[in-house]
Amino acid sequence: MALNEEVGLGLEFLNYYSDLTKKKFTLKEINRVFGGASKETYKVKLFDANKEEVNLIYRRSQKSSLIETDQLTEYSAYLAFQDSSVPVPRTIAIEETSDKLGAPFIIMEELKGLAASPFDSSAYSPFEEAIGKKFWKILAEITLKDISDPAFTNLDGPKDNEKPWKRELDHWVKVINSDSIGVEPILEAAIRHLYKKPPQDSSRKCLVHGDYRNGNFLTEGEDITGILDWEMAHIGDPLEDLAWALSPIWSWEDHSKPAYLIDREEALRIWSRSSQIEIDKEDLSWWELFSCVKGLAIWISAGHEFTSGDNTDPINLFSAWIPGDIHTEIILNTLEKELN
Amino acid sequence: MKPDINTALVFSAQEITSRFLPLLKEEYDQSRLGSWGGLMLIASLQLDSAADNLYKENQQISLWFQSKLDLVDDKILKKRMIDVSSMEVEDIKISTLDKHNQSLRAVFVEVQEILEGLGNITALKESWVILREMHGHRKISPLLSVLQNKT
Repeated sequence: MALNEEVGLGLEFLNYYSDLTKKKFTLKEINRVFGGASKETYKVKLFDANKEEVNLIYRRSQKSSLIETDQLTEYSAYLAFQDSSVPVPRTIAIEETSDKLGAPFIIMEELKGLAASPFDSSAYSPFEEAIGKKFWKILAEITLKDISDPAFTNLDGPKDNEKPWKRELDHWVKVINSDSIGVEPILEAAIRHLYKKPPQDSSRKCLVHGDYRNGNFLTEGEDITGILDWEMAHIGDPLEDLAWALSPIWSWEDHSKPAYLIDREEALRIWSRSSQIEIDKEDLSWWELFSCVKGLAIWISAGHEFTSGDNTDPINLFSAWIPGDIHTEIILNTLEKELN
Repeated sequence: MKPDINTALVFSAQEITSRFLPLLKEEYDQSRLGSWGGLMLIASLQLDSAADNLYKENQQISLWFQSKLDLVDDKILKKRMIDVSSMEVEDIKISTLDKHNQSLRAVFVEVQEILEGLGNITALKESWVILREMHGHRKISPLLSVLQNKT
């Protein structure tokens, strides 16, 4: 987007926000945040009538997005966790149509803190221990959230007797079949394996963040100030988020410390104790392999967007090349081991 | 001899990241251009060996199919194994070799599924050796650290 377009977007936003709050503001600056492939995210700084700075996050749907989700899912999750032990931004507004500003969007207050790259092994240094304990405890708290909360009415989830594992696997296999631009035998072998050896039916269904990992939360010193990117939230199996967060892709240079935080065994202990869920190792292994398939579905989808020309953001090419490569290798390592 | 494409791509990537990226004011634009530089660098490193890798993969899978024909009862699949492994390619363009590779992969998936059904561990282990080599040809994750600050 050219600079002028961005300023134009900022001025449109300013008018919308002034109307919404019935107050007068001026635009200080608007800057797009790099990295989010599912939404265009902007940091908007406004001045109010007293020249006090107001910092907002403005997330717009893209014409083409890596993960096709609606804004309501993310907004509902934020709403459900306002003023809770799971830190999220304060919600301000949602527009589900393109009528107001040309695309659906949500507005939130900007939180303090920084988001790290999930591939930066020293991102949380020297606070890995403190952040790690909080990271796994917060994930457990998400599983404890009452899913009858009215905010979750619109979330996807298993219907009637549908099994959470099958619903998720079917969903991502469908994405792969629709977006794949080539045959990947390693991925196909993983899909066959998952259907052949399903996990036990989960004893309880819970809220699943859908993309809980390093890179999707904000930190300030040793504090986690916000859990972000809830656009894939749904109702499902508690082990789904756990396995995704544990995936070696998010700690590629040191597999012993998932998310580049604390030791895997300690992470599991914290999660299990806080969620009051006993972890079945075989089931967790299933979900960890599933994480690779889900990941590859996302990276394949990104590659498809790029190849088709619908979205030539380099993040889509990067996703298809590097994370796609890593998840393929994790499957390879896992299934080779099973055979021996 | 003219400078090769790989060298041109490497220098382009370097120029993008060292000369043009600092000129951009917006952090988003800097990150986006930096990503292109990094991805161009990866492309340059992959380009030289791409045709050779595909050629070797196609030969390896073809030979493996021929050695496994006796294990496959399905006549249609057996014929496809023979046809695809004996296919002559018109040229050695990357796109041509890749097209052949995709045909081989599609049959490979079916053969591997049959071997799983038979529980033939020896043949399955062979199939995973091939997959390991194929993955090795495309593996670019070791370059992650190179890209880390550019994406």
